[in-house]
Amino acid sequence: MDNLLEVKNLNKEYGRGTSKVKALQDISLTVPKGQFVSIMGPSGSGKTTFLQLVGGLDSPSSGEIIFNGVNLQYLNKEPEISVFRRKHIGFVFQFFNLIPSLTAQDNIALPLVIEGTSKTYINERVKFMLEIVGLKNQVLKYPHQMSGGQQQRVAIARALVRKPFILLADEPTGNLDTKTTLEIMELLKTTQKELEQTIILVTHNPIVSSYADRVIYFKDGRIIEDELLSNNKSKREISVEISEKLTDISGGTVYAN
Amino acid sequence: MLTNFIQYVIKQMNRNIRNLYIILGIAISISLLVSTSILYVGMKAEVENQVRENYGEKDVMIGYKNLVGYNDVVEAKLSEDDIEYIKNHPYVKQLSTVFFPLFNESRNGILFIGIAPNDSFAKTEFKIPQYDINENEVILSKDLLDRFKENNGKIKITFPSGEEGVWTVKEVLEGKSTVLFNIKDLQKTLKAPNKVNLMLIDLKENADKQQFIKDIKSNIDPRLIIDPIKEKDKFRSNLGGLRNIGIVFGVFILLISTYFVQSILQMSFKEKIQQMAILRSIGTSKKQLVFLVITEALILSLIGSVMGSGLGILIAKFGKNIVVGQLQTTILETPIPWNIITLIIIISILSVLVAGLVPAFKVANIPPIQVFSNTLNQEYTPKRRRTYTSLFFLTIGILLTTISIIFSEKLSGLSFIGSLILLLGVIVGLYLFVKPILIGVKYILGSINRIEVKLAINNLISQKVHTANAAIVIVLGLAIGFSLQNLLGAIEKGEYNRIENQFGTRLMVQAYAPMMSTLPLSLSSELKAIPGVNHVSALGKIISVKTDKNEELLVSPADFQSLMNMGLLSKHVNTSKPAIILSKEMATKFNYKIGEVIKLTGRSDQVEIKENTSFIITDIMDFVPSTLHSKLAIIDWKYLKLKGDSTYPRGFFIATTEKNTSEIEQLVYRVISKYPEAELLNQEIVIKDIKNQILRMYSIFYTAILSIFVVGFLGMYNSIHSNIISRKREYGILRATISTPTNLLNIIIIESLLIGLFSTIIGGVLGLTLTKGLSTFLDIDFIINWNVLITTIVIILIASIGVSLIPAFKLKRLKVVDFFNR
Ligand SMILES: Nc1ncnc2c1ncn2[C@@H]1O[C@H](COP(=O)(O)OP(=O)(O)OP(=O)(O)O)[C@@H](O)[C@H]1O
Ligand SMILES: [Mg+2]
Repeated sequence: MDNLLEVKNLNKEYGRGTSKVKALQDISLTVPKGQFVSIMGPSGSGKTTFLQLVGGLDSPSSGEIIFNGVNLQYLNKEPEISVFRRKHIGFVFQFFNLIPSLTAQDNIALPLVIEGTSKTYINERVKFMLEIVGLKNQVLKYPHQMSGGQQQRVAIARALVRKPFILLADEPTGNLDTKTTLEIMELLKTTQKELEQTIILVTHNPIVSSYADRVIYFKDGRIIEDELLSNNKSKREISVEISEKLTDISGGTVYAN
Repeated sequence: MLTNFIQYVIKQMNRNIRNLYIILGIAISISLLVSTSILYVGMKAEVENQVRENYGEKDVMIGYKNLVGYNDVVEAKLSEDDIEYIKNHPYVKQLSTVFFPLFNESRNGILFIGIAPNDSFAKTEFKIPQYDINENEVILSKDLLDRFKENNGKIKITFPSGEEGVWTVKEVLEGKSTVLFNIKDLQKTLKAPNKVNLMLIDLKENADKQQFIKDIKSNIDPRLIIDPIKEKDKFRSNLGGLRNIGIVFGVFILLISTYFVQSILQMSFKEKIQQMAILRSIGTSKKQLVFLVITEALILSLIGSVMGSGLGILIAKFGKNIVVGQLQTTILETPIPWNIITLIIIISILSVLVAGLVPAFKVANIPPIQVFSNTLNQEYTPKRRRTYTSLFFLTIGILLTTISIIFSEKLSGLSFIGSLILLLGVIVGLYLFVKPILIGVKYILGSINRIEVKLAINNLISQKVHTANAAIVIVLGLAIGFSLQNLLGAIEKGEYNRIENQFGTRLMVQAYAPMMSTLPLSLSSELKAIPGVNHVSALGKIISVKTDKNEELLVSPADFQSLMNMGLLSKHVNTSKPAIILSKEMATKFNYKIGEVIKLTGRSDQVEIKENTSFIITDIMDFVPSTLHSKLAIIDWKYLKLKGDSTYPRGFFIATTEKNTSEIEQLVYRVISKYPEAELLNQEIVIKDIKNQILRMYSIFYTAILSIFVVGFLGMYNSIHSNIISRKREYGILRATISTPTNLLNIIIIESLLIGLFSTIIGGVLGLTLTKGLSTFLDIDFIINWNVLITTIVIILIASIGVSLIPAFKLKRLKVVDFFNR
């Protein structure tokens, strides 16, 4: 399988002198196309920092990030990096960040509109995305008329409408109840399968992680474990295992949601 | 579905209530500017109209003049060449020639005037429609009709010089003792062909009057008296002073409107920063963001401008009616000044653009990492630079104000600049005052042991920038509005005082055609006998006297003692010695000072000053009360020798303390009915007229002040509303932890009230400083109108509660979780 993402010896330091924080230390990994990766770890372990670097929002102190053979370092100036980000990377956040004055379908259309895509393509693509995320009946609703789960669906559709290389999601279910969390995870799983979408997701929730193909554990800016999940076990079993692993890593602290 | 970016711009605007505020803000500001400028133009036209109505169309009078007026006592006349020269002078717009023979005045008091046919002079000077007086026709006053009427219905006049003639009556005038002739006709009859002794001239707009006078004197005859019509100039320069105030006003209105729109926009962008951040996060380029802002600003300001202009025109139209109705004034209808409106619209579009671009660039330059982080931090801590700037302005402002107070005489401009800088300093660093003042309030309210009050005060202190932002509009509006109101009050009061001083008496009996006829001195005691009359002061006919230095002086004899009793003299005058009071103009002309002695010699038909009587200059006044004239002097009449004393005075001032003079008026009428020359003037009416004129001039500024308060109120609603809404999360935390919905409602209302209190304290102090600065600068009294100040403060406090109610109830109804939803 082709490697979509290749990360080599990535380091990130914040601040200098005594207040220096080594947020990421010597991270190396590869992600093949279509894989669903979950990142877990205690608070402050560098998960968000990692997503930000991979997403080209910030530049590493050292190391390389390569997407489909393109080294982000070469793009490390504006507006190239912004264009790359807009074309190839989709973001989903804990807060859905929808434009309140636009309907569901218009929110989804917005990235294409900004790019100046043709009208017919926009129509077609947005309809398709609405179907994927299961919001065919909510097209004309405004964000404040939708539930959190529905809003997150719109946000996911918006992130995917431009067919990004990779979807980066930082605690996308952090703001949702259990039932809705499961729905959103089912949706992400569907997109992975139907669109061959590569996904990296950060979460504290073992159940969420159980939907992934692979779980990477961070601690103090380092990867301390990287495991592929078995297809044979039930989600329940997997999440229990993850839970235990987390407890080991953080020395007794239990993480949930 | 959304398919292009412009659609997006419009769609997202469509559903944003904030845009309505912006449009409203722009519209109100523009309507304010437009209506003020329309009213101002109208008022200017009205003043010019008044000038023409009161003083005629003419700018300059040219003629040969002796002591009583323009006449032919001096054996000189204007030749046809002279007239031609003047007519062709480049400054001259229009010219009327008048033949105005003055016969020995004691025989009769009739004015014979020859005017050119169809001359506008007749229309304005004699207040008649423009008649074409043909030869053999006259227009004459009613009283003369019976006197000269022959049996055949014609008029026969025998002139004092012996000539006579017969005319048909063209029209009868309302006035007294006047006959208008065709000028050629009169010249022929009096055997003075082509004789012209008076010209009335209308100068072109930009004519240099002084230069014109020089030209005429050097080219025709240095003895010519050229008399620019002073009153008219004075009246116009009044308007000139008004223009300065108008400019101060305009600047303030512009300032407030710009600030208003700017603050709405800024708040709107503060709210929109999130939206822009999202846009950035899904790949909107900086260019697109700027485009978004420009398009939005253009659309908003265009709609606002059109609405505002329309509203402004309507306000000017209806507001005019209200002003006119309320203040019994008139403001002329004027064509809408489209050029001004266009300018205003362009300025407003530009300022909206600038106001919009600043936050757009701010957002565009936010590093993407910050855009993506969920806690896009909106908590705003003021930069240190801002604090320093504020402190800098404050120091300079206080310094300048102090210096200008110490050296107040010389540095009047400084106090104004100082107070403006102070205002700037306070506005920039308003948040610096939040804590000390609110702690003061807390201390004062210490006895009120309600948790809500404490919470509210703590909230406001911890959010001092928010608090300051919410307060800024009120502070600014109050400071400016209040100082302007005080300023106008002071000007108005000063003006009223001046008038009251000038017209200290209420009634005046005057011999009609004051230059010619006189009244018996005995009338004085008859008038004095009328119940309700406190003092009567006779004034004599103006006589020409010579000083020992051979200067010609026009003096009017008056009874100094009774003038003093009437309060018409500003000083006590020792009447045991001959005294003279000079007008400032005369004193400057001949370089006389108080205390100097002038020796006067002079005589007229009826009166004589003994050779070289010494008069002490006891006072120099702006203008001389008993004559209401700036070119004259008065001397105490005790030191005159009357020849046939029975018919010397030309008028009597009657002073009464009675408020309602109508009864006295009736009695005075009865007394004077024996003397056909006598006429009663009610000075009260004159005073009222002048006061009305003043009111008329200032009414426009009152309209403007009112509008400032309206705009201020809207600004207040806007800022308090967005202050509350932008702190939704904070209130949510309160609700989640300690407060009930009612607690929250109370907290919000108390906060708003406290903001109002804070603003009025600062705005009031600033307003007073600004008033002081302005009044020193413009050299007017510093008057604090406590009524207005207190009323305004009460209104603001009530209003601040009022404006908080809608958002407060909105939040009260929310469930706790809703506070945290975007
Ligand atoms: N902008 C920054 N400046 C300085 N230090 C930072 C910055 N961003 C993150 N850090 C530090 O880097 C480390 C990693 O932070 P990061 O946000 O990646 O953790 P995380 O794993 O996402 O934690 P959480 O689970 O709480 O979201 C932390 O110690 C954090 O304090
Ligand atoms: Mg994180």
